[in-house]
Amino acid sequence: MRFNHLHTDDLPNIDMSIKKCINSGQWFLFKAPSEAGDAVYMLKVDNTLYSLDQFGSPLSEVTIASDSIMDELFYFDDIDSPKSLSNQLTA
Amino acid sequence: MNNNTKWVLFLSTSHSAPEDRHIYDLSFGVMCLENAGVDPSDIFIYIDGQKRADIESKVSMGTNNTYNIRTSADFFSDIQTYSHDNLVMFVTGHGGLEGIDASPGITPHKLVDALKSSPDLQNSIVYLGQCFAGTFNYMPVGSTKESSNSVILVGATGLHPSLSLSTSENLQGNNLRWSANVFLLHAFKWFSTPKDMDGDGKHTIMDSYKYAGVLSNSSQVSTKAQTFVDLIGSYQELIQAANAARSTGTPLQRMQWDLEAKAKRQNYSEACSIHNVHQECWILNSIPAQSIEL
Repeated sequence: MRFNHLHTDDLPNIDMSIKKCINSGQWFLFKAPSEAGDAVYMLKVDNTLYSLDQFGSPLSEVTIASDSIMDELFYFDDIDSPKSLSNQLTA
Repeated sequence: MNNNTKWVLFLSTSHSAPEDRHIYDLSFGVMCLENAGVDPSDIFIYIDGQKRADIESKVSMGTNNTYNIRTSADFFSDIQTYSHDNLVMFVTGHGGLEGIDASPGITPHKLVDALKSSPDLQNSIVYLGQCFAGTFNYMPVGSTKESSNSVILVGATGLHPSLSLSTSENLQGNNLRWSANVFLLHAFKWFSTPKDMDGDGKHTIMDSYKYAGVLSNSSQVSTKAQTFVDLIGSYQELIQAANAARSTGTPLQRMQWDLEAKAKRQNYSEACSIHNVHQECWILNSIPAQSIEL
């Protein structure tokens, strides 16, 4: 799996609340597979997938037949991201 | 304990697919066990779900080794043929009134009975990360004339939901972010870098319990401080987004508004969970836990 980083301005049509879900690792934004047509990105929300265009606007809810599709994940560099819990120190 | 010990990573579900975050709990776990020097041939992974390649891909985030990932039903048949002396098991996923979420649910009796009836096991340690793990407390787990297997159960929480928190962890050079089961994360971490919590010069199962409990509560307190302000504003944002989602518009506009409302609901629920969940860990059969060393 590959990890890529975006600026929030790269996807202006995704609301900041969605970007927060992505950056915190609750939802997953990844590169659309070739079978997804015009979609550039896919957004996984629980067990629902949304295809997104290059600006982040949703195109449709989709079902992907292939078994392994999250090959390339995206996070945003310019908003808060979680710290490592495993490296924290006790008070 | 490392000699002749079977290490089990377990995720069952009653749904067609487990949640990604629960698989990533185990990806982190397998990485920690391998870092601790556990031989991959002693690690066994059981995960339910129809998309097997997808599950294997996510588990591989934490390892370069290939594992034959089987299902929770396989665990209950495999355990009757285990020839190891010791078992250390980590359970993630959901929990509720029926015990561990599965189809059918895994009750405390079913799990304990399977462990006790395994022919060769002498010590079994099970870390239970699911919600309401306390339903597995107060079970007949000590060694008896019928079964010499002494079972130690370590629960992330009592009769409460368990806590997951967002984290970013380095898995083989990649910083993966997910909502991690915080107690299991710290338990795994202890096995990779054990700490002598009681100062007796030994690394025992009791140390792992104390370490995971302290670090879990510490994680929650520090995360509460970060999310307090978010919680104040997030409910109003949710109401506004929910009203917008009810507005008329094109199907694509409605999908966008609906997605935004879902995100705001998610952020609000996450903040509520961090503030409202009370997690207090527990250990059953604590006497042998004080002497079983890594």
